[in-house]
Amino acid sequence: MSGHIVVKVSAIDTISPVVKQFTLEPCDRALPRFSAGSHVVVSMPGQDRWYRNAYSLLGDPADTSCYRIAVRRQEASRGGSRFMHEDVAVGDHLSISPPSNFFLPRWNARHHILIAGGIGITPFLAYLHEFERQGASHELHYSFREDTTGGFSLELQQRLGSSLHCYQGARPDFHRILADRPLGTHVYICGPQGMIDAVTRAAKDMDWADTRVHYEAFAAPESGTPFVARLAASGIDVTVDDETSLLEALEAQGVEVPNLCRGGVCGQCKTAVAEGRVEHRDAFLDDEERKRHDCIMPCVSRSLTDTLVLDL
Amino acid sequence: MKTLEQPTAPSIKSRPIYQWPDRLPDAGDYLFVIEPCGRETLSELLREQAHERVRILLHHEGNEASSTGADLGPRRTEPAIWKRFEPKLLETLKESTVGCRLVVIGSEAFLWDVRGFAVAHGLVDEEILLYPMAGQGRRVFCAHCRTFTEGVHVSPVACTGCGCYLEVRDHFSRRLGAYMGVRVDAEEPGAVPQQEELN
Repeated sequence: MSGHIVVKVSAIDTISPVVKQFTLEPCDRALPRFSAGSHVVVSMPGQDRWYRNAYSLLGDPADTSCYRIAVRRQEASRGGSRFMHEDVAVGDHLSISPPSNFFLPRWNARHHILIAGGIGITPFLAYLHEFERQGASHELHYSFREDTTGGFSLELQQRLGSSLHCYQGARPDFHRILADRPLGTHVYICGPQGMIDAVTRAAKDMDWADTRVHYEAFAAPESGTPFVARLAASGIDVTVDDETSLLEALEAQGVEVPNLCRGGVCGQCKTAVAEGRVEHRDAFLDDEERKRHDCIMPCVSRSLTDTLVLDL
Repeated sequence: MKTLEQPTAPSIKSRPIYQWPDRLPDAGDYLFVIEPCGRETLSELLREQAHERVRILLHHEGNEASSTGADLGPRRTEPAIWKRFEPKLLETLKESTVGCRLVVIGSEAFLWDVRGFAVAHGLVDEEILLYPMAGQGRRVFCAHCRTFTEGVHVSPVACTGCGCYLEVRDHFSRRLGAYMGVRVDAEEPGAVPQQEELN
């Protein structure tokens, strides 16, 4: 990936037993400005390969003296979050991508309802800085497991007061949250897929237009059946094992595919498929495009056939 | 339903293509904003199905031939009809909640006035249905003196602001709810072609 930025870890704070916050300072050049909702991709050297995970920037977008990210340690970590928790120390250097954003607030909204689940709070921490600065009307519904992921709730209590609604170990009543809202209200969800589905279902029940409902559908690549990716131009076969994404396997072979979100959202890594059938796992392609099996998002999607021939 | 005849292939991209269903999508709350010419369409739509909540706002002042006087400053584009109706519409939108669907029936210019106002007050396009009625003519925006001429059926037409003969283009401004009018005899003053009926 081009345009990498080297940063120094200047502080590590324990937010909760499973969440650590990392403060990243510039080394050789100033950090680029970012907008609320942005993320960076952190590259981590693993034992046998690189891990690349996207993390939302949770600091104040007006402050570019440092970036802040929060990492939840995943039980079924593929390596990335474990690496951040166990192998990164203050003073270490990390390589990150420049910020990109697929989760911007709608600035013409008259009221913003934020719904966060667990570590999904992170993009909203940046939103809140911006909302406070602009005097934008907002409220936050923060749902988390007791003592594990609710580490930001004390700070939020002080900042938000009565517009903070916390749900410890209980699912909020989304129908009630969305009921009788004035025109111009938009809702944003960042959390597990089940929460996104529940809110979008409630919104549909209550005749909310899709364009009022925004969510960050980031998915870490999930494991699957191993397959072989054949590169049509060179005839090279790349083996993709069960725990590695196609994009990661290509990168390990030195094949660079342009990419941004690494979570099946942005469409940057779209790659043409010459032969084989694709197991689509992204949120970018529409149904028609999926049926054609002529392209794939290698960051999350895999192959249904033993061999997938790529136009690379 | 006497809706505007749509060009099968619009001559220009900016000309809106409307998609109106004969039966409204199911939603709990409908707000109809109509001009008198839309009454029949309204009753046809309401006959089709029952909704939990229906509110109807009738704008009955009609389009005035010309929108403004001569000396209102450099931009003479505010439709006069709008001033009296606006507070009523504003009040109705303020008491509306997300989920409400807006259906506007009337002249094309009226549709876009209401649509612009509704979007500025928090509705999104997916919540707005526009039913343009046939025979209402076009609103024409003079590119030279910036005056609106309402209810135009022919081109070229004399601008009610500066008197220039304007060729009525298909180029449509959604913001102004108007077709662009440019001086037809700019190259050769006085050479005004014969008027043709607009579709």
